[in-house]
Parts: sequence; structure tokens; C-alpha cells
Amino acid sequence: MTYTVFARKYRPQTFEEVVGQEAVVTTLKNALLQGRVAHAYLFAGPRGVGKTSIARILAKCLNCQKGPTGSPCNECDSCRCISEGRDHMDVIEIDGASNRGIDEIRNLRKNVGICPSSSPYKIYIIDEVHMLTREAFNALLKTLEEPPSHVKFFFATTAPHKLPETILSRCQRFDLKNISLEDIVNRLKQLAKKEKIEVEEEALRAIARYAKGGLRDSQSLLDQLWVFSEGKITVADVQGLLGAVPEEKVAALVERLIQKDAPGAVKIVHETLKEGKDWDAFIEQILWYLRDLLVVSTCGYNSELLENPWREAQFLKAQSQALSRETLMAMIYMLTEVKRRARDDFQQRVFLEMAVIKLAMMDFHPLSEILARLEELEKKLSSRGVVPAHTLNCESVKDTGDSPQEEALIEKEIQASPPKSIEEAWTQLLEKLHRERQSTWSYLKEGRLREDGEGELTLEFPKDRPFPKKYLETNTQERTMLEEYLTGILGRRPRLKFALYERAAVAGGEATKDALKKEEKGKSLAEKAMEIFEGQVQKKGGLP
Amino acid sequence: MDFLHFKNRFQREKILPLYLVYGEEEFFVKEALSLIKSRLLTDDSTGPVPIRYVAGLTEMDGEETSLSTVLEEVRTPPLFGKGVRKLVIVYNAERLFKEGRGVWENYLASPPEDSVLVLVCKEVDSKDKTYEKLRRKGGSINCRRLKEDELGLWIQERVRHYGKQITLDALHILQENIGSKLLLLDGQIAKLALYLGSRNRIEVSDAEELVGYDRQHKVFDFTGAVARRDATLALRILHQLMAFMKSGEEAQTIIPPLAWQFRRLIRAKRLLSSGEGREAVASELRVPYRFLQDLVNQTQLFSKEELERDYKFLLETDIRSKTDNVDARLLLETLVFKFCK
Repeated sequence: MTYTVFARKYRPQTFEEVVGQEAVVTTLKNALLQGRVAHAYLFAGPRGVGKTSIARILAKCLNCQKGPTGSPCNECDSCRCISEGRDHMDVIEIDGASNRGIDEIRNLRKNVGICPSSSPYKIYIIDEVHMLTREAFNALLKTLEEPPSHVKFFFATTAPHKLPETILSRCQRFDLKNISLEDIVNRLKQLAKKEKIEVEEEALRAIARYAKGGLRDSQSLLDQLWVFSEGKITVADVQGLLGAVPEEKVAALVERLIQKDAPGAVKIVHETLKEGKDWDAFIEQILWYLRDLLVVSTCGYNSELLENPWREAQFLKAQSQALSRETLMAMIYMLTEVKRRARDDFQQRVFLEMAVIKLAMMDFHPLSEILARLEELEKKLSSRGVVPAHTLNCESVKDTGDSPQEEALIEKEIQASPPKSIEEAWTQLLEKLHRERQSTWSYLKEGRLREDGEGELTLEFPKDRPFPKKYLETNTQERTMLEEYLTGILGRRPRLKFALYERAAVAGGEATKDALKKEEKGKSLAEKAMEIFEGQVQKKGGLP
Repeated sequence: MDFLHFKNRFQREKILPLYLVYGEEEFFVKEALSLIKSRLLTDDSTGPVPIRYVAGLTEMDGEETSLSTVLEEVRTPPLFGKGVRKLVIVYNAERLFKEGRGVWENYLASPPEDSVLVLVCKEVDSKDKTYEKLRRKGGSINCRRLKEDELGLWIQERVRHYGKQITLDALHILQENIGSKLLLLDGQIAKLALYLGSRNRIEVSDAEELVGYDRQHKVFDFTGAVARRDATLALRILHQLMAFMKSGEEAQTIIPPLAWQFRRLIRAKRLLSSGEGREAVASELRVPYRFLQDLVNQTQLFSKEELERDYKFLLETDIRSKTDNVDARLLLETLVFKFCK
């Protein structure tokens, strides 16, 4: 006996069996009952949501020997032919991707005029219709406008935006939705029951989540899992088949970060990558885990809003309490930066390890706590007669009864000292922009400034990121703003040029790792701190 | 003559030997042709002598036919003999109409008794003499696109044509999602009428189910939630916005309407704080009346700095969604937390 895959075996055969497309089904059934079936339908939607199935069911309804009816009998020759995918004289299924030329459509036009042989309607189902050529669409247009009354066209596509408007306006269009997670799980449960498959509810949810709204993908995955697993299908089986990192490992990694256990966190990363897991998917999993922690921390435990609602609630709550919202957002930002910056396998690994170390060494105190501690410190200092720096240019200076001359002197003192080098000027500019114009800072931060000659400065960007150069060259307003900022810092108006530079190649292998380790060892605590917090050395001066 | 005018008068008036159907609104062109065809396929008893019109219909493409062929076809007597008229429709007739300037005037001066010719063009030169003559006789039918303020009425009328009614909010959804192309709108209305079954009125939920969502409304709800720092609600609305996306749309397509809304809030805030009233906001920012109160309320909930900061966050997210290899949904959700911090 030949084996039929689940996706084919459980393809819906009646409108009642279609999952998650109630509005479309209701409309079509009403059209059938009222005898108002349009001459052309377009079913658009992502893959595996039921486009072709609905087109076939509609064809069965129209050509059923007991029809036209809202519920085909599935017993007559016509229904069975369509259900079994056999050749039907009057239901012609065409793959738009492989029959996309004008000749195929001319052929179709020639046959349109011929009456159906054994059914009331001649039905053309064109799958992936967006693949037809422009000429083919034009050839189809006239037929589509006024087809003979015995002809119906059903189009299915995943890319309706690629269809000419002239075609769209001649069809009744239905946009099929992604099927909800609950609907997929329920359908899979029914299927598992029929096939006597033992499967954990969580495993079904993991399958449904992977399918991202497509029922066919979920059925195919369950099919594979059934062949692959022995006994009950578990979440671990699903993750194993998909090459995903087990959830416990991601949770353990985050726990190591909370415990500031950098070696432990790096060990988990090593183990995971050693198992051959995809690092990109791994980061993605960590990101979504952190996102769920952020949701719990901001909105409370709300399973509706969680990406993985079957995670252990208590554990999630505990972890979300250990990390402030600011920290979680910083962690997400840092990991997205890894994804953005890493270009090859080596970089990916190094950046991921670096990020994990950085995250494990981050101070997880909430900002509010830090501010409270700062305030406390300020109080202690002021009780000893020390005035905090940030209050120097405010009311407290006036309160001391200083003369205006003294005031001006203090103000001058606390102003940033002029930069000694062009690099320092660049750092000052970035800091200023980070405070005042984050959007400009975000694209400038990868640049570097070079002095070319008398008053001429070149702003360079990496060759693989040419966008800022182009943007600044074309946007006068932004360029002027930048020049004004630089004028403020340098004390003279510079002439700005823009250029691209080649990034220094990253050397690979163990030698680099050793060098990095040595370099790491040789660094002072202050240097390490500067690196972690992306800080810089400031000369003493503000405080008296 | 405007199509809507023609539609009201056509059944009562005498049939002319030549009609020029022109304009960009395909729906009206189709309807004009179907009106002409349906009248010529039935008995006409408006004239002094009843004439029986039958399906002597010839359709031609003006780009593939010469002027002489068309004229020959029109002047050839109908197959079924006297008292029977035939109808010749020439599509894409721009070139033929220009070519035969003198010819059409002669044709109008002595038209064949038993033929009706219809020329279908996308556009015509309004200074053309033949056009002017035809216009005066009532044979030119202008199928122009409807203006925005005419569209609502047309939708209501079309819904009535299908035996249903529509709520104003559902009408807005149709207009916002489909635009002003009447053929597309008609297809959606037909679909909605079928979906209703025995129910009589198209509600917002019906339109959301089959057509799309009220983007403006949802965007207002979103900024409202952000203004109240309600991250849960903002996240829910964001999820709804994503669930409503059509096939092929990416998550970052949500950013432009949000940016537009923040810009509008910033401008409204400026106007209101400079002493202008609600009316000035409505007219300057072209805010539909149904959203005006919401807009004014929201400007009070945000400070100017907050609005500018949130707008910057949004632009940063926009850049990152286009340059970073990160799921746009994650970026947008993180943005919600940043907004509601």
C-alpha cells in the first residue's frame, strides 16, 4: 500500500473541514446558495493556509452531480476526480509557475469557448498565478472580462501585489489569513487522534509555532516527527528535528547571565555551537526569550502576549524580577548588534562570545536604584561641603553667593576642554550627538574622522556600510547640522569631505584567540571597564 | 455629459447614431456600454415608429482596425433586414477618433439609419470640433474618476444596489483599504453583501473580516495607548496591526503610518500651544472630524519633548528594520517598551 503524507491525506475536502478561514467559506457558501458565483476568484495568502484547497472545494461544489451545492457529495465521479487529483475533463488545474507563457494562455483561450463535457462548468484553477508573464496576463485579460457563462477562473497566489491591477479588478478577491496557533494545535490534535499518535500538547504548540500560521507545514512536520520518534513525541523531539536549541539551555544561559557567571555562560554557548546548532537561530531564540522576560516585567505574566506561553511561569517571573527593564532592553540591543555586525562564522562566534561575556559582567541594578544610590552619595558629599558637578551651573552656585565673575570662571572651568586631537573631537561629537540627536548618532557611530589638510576634514565610513556617506552627500540639512556641531567643538568651521574605507580584515585561528587572551590579561581593570561600558577617560577638573 | 447624468437620462432619450465613451473610470465605461447594449437588445418604443433592436453586435479593437473597416462595418446593413439595428463598439479608439476628424462630422450629418457606433477612448481632446458637436448632441459620455467627496455617496448607493446598508465606519474601512477604483470597490461590496447572508447591514466587523482594518483608527488607538504608557494595550494593538497585514506585507510597513501620526501630533501640539483652535488643527492637518477630539486629547497627554523623542525612536527603528538582520517584529515590540518606559 502506498503511503500518503499527512498534508495530502488530511487536505480539506469540504468547506466544513477548512480551518481558520470562516469568513471566506461563509461568503462562498452564500454565493453558491444564492446562485451568485462570480466568474473569477482570486485566493491570496501565505503558503499552507488553504488557497488551493478552497479553489478545489469550490470547483467540486459547482460541478458535483448533485449540485451546484454548498456541500459537495464527495461520492460522484466529478467530486472523486477532484479529490483524488485525477484528470478531470472540466476542471483544469494549471501551475502558473511552469505554464507562464503567452502560448499556454492562448491555448487556454482557444479551449475556453468549448462547452464542458460532463459538468455544468468548465473551471480553470491557476496556482501561483503571479508567475505568469506580462504578455500572458494581457492575453488572459479579454477572456477574464467576459468569459462564457460556463467558464470559471480560480486563481491562487502568495504574491497578489505582483498581479496587474487589470486582473485584480476583474476578480473577486479573498485574502486568506494565517491560521491561528490554537486552530493549528486543535487540527493537529484531531489528526494525531485519528492516526493514534502519542504527542505532548507542548510539542504540538512548538510545531504550530514553527509553522507560523501554515497548516500544511505543521502537518508535514508532525509527519516527519512520527517517523523519526519512538514512542511519545516530545518538545525535545521537535527542537531536535528543527535544529533549535532546547528551551532549557536558553533559560540556563540567561540564568548564568543573571548570576554573572561569565565562564558558565560561555560554556553553554560553546556546547551549543559544538552540537552544530545554527548560531543565528540561537541568538534569535535568546532574543525572543529576553523579549518574553521584558513582557513579563512590563505587562505582568500574560500568556496571550508571550511568544512561548508554555514556559514555566514562576521561572519567567523570577528571572524578569532579577533584571530591570533597562537591562533587558540593553541586552536585546547588544544581541541585535551581534547579529548586525557578524558577517562570517568566525566573527559570529567571537561576537557572540564577547556579547555573552559583556552581558555576564553587566551591572543588573535597575536605573532607579542607581539613581537613588547616586542621590544618597550626593547627600553625603554635600554634608561634607562638596558640591556635586551637575549642580555647579544651576541654582546651588548662586546660593553660595559667588560674584558673577566667579560664576563665569566656574562655568568656564566646567565647560568641556577643547579637543587635543581630531580623534578626541570625533569622540566629543559622538557623545554630544548621542545625547542630543540619537538618530544622527546611530548612523555616524561607525564612522571616523581624519584631518586632510588646512581646515579640511574627511569623514570616513566602512565600505560595507556606504549608506551614511550617500545620505550626508545628498542631505544638505544634515550636513550643515554636522558642520555646526563640529564648529562648536573645534572652534573653527571645517570643510567636510566624505569617503569610504576598507575594514581591517579579521585574522582567524587560535593565534588570534591567544593574542586576544594575552591582550585581555595585560589590561588594567580601568581599561576593561572602559571596554565593557564603552567609556572614556575624563581629566579631573569639574569637582573642586 | 457626465456618466451619472447620462445614466439618469439615457432610457428616456432617443438613441443617437454615435456615442463617444471616454474617461479613466473603467467601472463607468463598463456600465455605460452595458446600458447601451441592454437597451439595444430590447424593444424600443420611445420613438414614433417602434424599432426592434437585436443582437447585431460587433466589437473591434481600434488599435488593430483601420478607419475604413469600421466605417464599412457600420454602413453595412444588418443581416436581419430593415427595422433591425446593429451595434458596433470600437475599443481603444483614440487613434481612429483623431484620424477621422472630417469623417465623423460627415457621419453625424448623414448617419446610417440602422446602426449605432460606440467609440471607447481613455481620453479625448476637449477642443476637438467633433467632440464639441457630439457633446452638444449628448453623445459624449464622460466616465471620469469620482472625487473623494463623491465616493462615499457612490459606495452607499452601490451597497443599496445589492440590497444592503452600510455603517459609516465600515464605509471608511472600504474607502481606506481599496481606494477610489470603483471596479475594485464594487467587487468588495459584492463580496460583503454575500457574506452578510440574511443580515442587512455591513458592520465594521464584517469589513475587517473581509476587506481590511481601519488603519487610521488603529494608529490612533496605538498612540493613545502610548500616551497613557499602557504597554500591554500598545502591544496588543501592534499585534492586531500585524495580524491585519496582507500577504506579502512586511512588519516594517507599520512604521510609516505610525511616523505620520507622530508628525501629526507634533504639528497639532505646536498649533494648539501657539493659541490656535481645534478648527485650525482640523483644516491645517486635514484631520477627519471623527478623529479630531482624539488627536486633541492625545496632544495633551504627551509633552513636546516626549513626542519628539518618540518620533526619533521610531525613525531609528525604521533604519534598523531596513539595515539590521533582525526580525522587524522584535524591533517594533522593543520600540513599544521604549515608548512606554
